Amino acid sequence: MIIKNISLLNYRNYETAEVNFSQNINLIYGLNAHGKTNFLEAIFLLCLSRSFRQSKNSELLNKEANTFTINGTFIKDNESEKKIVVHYIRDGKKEISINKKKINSHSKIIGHFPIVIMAPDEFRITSGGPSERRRFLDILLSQVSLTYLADLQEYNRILKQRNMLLKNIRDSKFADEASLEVWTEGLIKAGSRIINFRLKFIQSFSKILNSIFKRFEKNGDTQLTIESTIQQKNEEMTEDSFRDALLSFRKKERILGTTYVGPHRDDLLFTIDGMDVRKYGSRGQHKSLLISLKIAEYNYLYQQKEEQPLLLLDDCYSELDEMREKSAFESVQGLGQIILTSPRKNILENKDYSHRDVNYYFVKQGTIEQIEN
Amino acid sequence: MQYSSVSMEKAISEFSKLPGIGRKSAQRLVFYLLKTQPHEVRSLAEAIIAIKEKIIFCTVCFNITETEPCKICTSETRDRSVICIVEEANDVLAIEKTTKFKGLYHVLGGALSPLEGVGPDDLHIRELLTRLNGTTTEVILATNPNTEGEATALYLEKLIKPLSLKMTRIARGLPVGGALEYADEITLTRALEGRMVI
Ligand SMILES: Nc1ncnc2c1ncn2[C@@H]1O[C@H](COP(=O)(O)OP(=O)(O)O)[C@@H](O)[C@H]1O
Ligand SMILES: [Mg+2]
Ligand SMILES: [Zn+2]
Repeated sequence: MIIKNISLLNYRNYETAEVNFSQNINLIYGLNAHGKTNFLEAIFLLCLSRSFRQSKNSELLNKEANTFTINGTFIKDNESEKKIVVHYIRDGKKEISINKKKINSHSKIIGHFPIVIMAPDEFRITSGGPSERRRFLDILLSQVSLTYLADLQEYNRILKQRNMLLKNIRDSKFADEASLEVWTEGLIKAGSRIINFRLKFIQSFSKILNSIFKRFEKNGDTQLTIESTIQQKNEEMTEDSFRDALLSFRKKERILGTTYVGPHRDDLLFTIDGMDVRKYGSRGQHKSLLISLKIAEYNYLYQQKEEQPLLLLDDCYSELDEMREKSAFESVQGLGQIILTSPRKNILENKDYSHRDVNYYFVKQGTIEQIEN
Repeated sequence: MQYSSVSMEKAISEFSKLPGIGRKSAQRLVFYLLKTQPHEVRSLAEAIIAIKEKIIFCTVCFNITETEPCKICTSETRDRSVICIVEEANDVLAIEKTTKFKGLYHVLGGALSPLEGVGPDDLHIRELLTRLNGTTTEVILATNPNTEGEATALYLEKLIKPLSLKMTRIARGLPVGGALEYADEITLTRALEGRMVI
């Protein structure tokens, strides 16, 4: 898949912007705080209908405006053309259409436009809190599987309802045990499907990750496992073990008014030669691991969707070099379309990019224009 | 901006209390009515008043009605052994349109949702249980196929199970997250036919 063009109206610090992309490398350059990351964020938003910076809709809106619109044309690998429009009116909800047809569910868009982003913030995956790692998992798996996405939405909704009920019980508004049981059953059903999907995914993904990681550290072995709040046997988690885990927190749940175990509390453990990277990894190890992780994500997504993902690199040009040197990308030509940002224009010069055309775009104070090479 | 007519202001502020109507739309509606024939405006006003004066909830099934009990509850031709449990009166309408269902209804008045402060006591569940002691042999759980509807169905299932009635849940395959009222007739007919015994 490639993105052919995009136009923005009142998005972040852009009033209007319009750009055509090369199907190969696109370098967006300009001084810091002038709008490079904002531009990538808009592309990401078209593909996944959310900001990779976890910003609220209202923060995406240009400070002077009351609505924003992003318009983009994608060409899928089967050559079909998809025009996506995201439109937001202050205090409303985002409205999304594909080829002029309004879509009413995320499942119509997520996964159809596979995308991988590498940005400085992404280092939080290996060094930040558990929620960063769950986010990584959920964004990847939602792109891979529609049922995973549906289960996740269902689980989150039930979780909210159940926590509300637990709070009511805590504050003795009404101690309605019978309806708590109903939410608990729903939580167990959806939650078990999510955990088992994650477990199965991690088994194969950990191997892919390790084979890529070895290109960075020949003698290092990396492993990825789920650290679950629920005990599992034989690589599968049963609904009964979920039920038992909830039962063991019965008292605590009622005192604190929240659900203590489940996929929303799970974490990912990265190890290198048995060492917990989250706690003890060196800077270099974090970096090699994250690049390997992103390559593995790209390859996995490509393989599962049979659609070449779009790669966004925000201020990560040195990582691009390492990616190219160290890795075998799934596709024959290597990477597909890449859109990257950098403060400087010359970062790709004197490197082996001549066989691919590079388009250059200059960003200045919320404007962007293509510059001839 | 404020209008110099007090009645104008009053009408606009009343209209803008309605869901989905902001002050701008309210102004447009009031201006429209200002230019409309008096008898048409009167007929609209009467229709609005009738909502509160004439329409009532059936004390048996809680469907909306003008007679008490409602026409379905008193009908001679309906199968009194089956009760179809739905969330809202709109759902009765949707199922009636399919003309496939010949039994009685019970309208819960919503679905369980702690987030919206709706617990079992806020729904017509107690009234349902009293009804089930009569001629009923089968119940159909036709709450919406979304998170809250599923939870409500499970809650009722647990309550009704000891009564050892035949119990079926309307099959999924309805638009996910979509309310019954939006399901087209074919999907609904299929769902009613394909309901599963629980
Ligand atoms: N909603 C908004 N409206 C207007 N300007 C914004 C908005 N959000 C961010 N900005 C501005 O965008 C700039 C940051 O852009 P960014 O893309 O992060 O820069 P960089 O080029 O360094 O990647 C800042 O100057 C910030 O004030
Ligand atoms: Mg930036
Ligand atoms: Zn009735």
